[in-house]
Amino acid sequence: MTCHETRAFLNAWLDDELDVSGALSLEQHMADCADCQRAREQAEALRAALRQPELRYQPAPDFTRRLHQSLQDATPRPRPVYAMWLAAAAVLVVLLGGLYLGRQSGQNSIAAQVLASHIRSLQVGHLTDVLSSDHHTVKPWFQGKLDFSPPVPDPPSADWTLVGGRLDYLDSRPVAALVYARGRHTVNVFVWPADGGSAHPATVQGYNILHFTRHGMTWWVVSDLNLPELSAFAQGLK
Amino acid sequence: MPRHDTLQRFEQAALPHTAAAYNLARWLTGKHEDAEDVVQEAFLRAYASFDSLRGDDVRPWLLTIVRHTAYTWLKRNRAGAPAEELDDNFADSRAPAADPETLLLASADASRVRAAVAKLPPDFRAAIVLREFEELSYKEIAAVTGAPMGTVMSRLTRARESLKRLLTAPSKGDRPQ
Repeated sequence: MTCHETRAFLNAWLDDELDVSGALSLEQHMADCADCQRAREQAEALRAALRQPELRYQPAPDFTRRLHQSLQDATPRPRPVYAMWLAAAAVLVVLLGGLYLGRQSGQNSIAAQVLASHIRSLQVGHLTDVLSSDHHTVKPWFQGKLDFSPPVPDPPSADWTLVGGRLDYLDSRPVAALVYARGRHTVNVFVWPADGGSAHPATVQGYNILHFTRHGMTWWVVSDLNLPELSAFAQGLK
Repeated sequence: MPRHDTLQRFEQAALPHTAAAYNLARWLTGKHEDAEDVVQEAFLRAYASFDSLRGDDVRPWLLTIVRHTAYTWLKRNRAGAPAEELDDNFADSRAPAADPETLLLASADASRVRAAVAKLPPDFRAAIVLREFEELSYKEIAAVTGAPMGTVMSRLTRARESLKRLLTAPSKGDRPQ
């Protein structure tokens, strides 16, 4: 092995990523080459400097407990602690119960989940997993993450933009969430394979929710946009 | 939403990696509070998609989500702190450094090293943190950072060259080159 090759493979050697024969010939070269030996010493000194224990940031002692708490709060089981979120969800379920009177209870809980997911997505950092206005980027992103290939329609008109997509979990299954925006209005579109049924639009706490079946998919569209405009938007999703 | 028995399974799989997740998030965001927020959000995301994990190793999977969440967070909350400009494909052709540099490296104190690592661009910083602190293999780092193995290797090489340069610079005030 030459000096040049030795330098090229030194990092891989140091990281135990070099195959046995490569490692052997590198070690042989280093044994006879003071320059390469020095390079190795430097690399090892740097590693020692980087591996000082105090450089590793440690989480706060109660962080695991807090993580546990927030995971538990995200699990559907009535719990008095996470007051705001659960209380809000409970109120919504009651409201939706009234609005959807006479409809299947399954639809109620999906509508509640759709709205809950929409609100949650608007909290910082929750909106998209893949950020792109190009549906050729968004669509393949879902590949391998879902057991179906969700349609990613272009925005219905030029004043709408596709913001991106994310994975969500609704109706006991992973679903595709597509995010569109116009001005300050954000629309979440949830898509998964249809198993029939449809509902009329609902308005809950200033949010409008649409539900329909199209192209063999179940669609839920939710936004703070007014109902006529949201309907027009949904119509335009082709 | 996941059920309660899923919560138990998820926690058994994920909570042992809290420290690794926090360390990565802390290095990427630079702040304690931000790192906690990022990890919390990442864990919730991971929890929601836990069913999609099949027989894969939990740690790289979880760190991938942490890294992704941290990047999204950085994009949203910061224009981007000044970072060293490093090229993925830069071939270093400079002559080997002299012995005193080894001594300088060996005596570099933690705060100096921390400042040097913080100067690396996020992708290079992530590679160093995952390799040196979490001791992930190149293959795992490639999975976490979504880059090919060759890129991981060259990022590590470049990051180490850069760290060497920063840590052996004559005085703390001077930015090397």
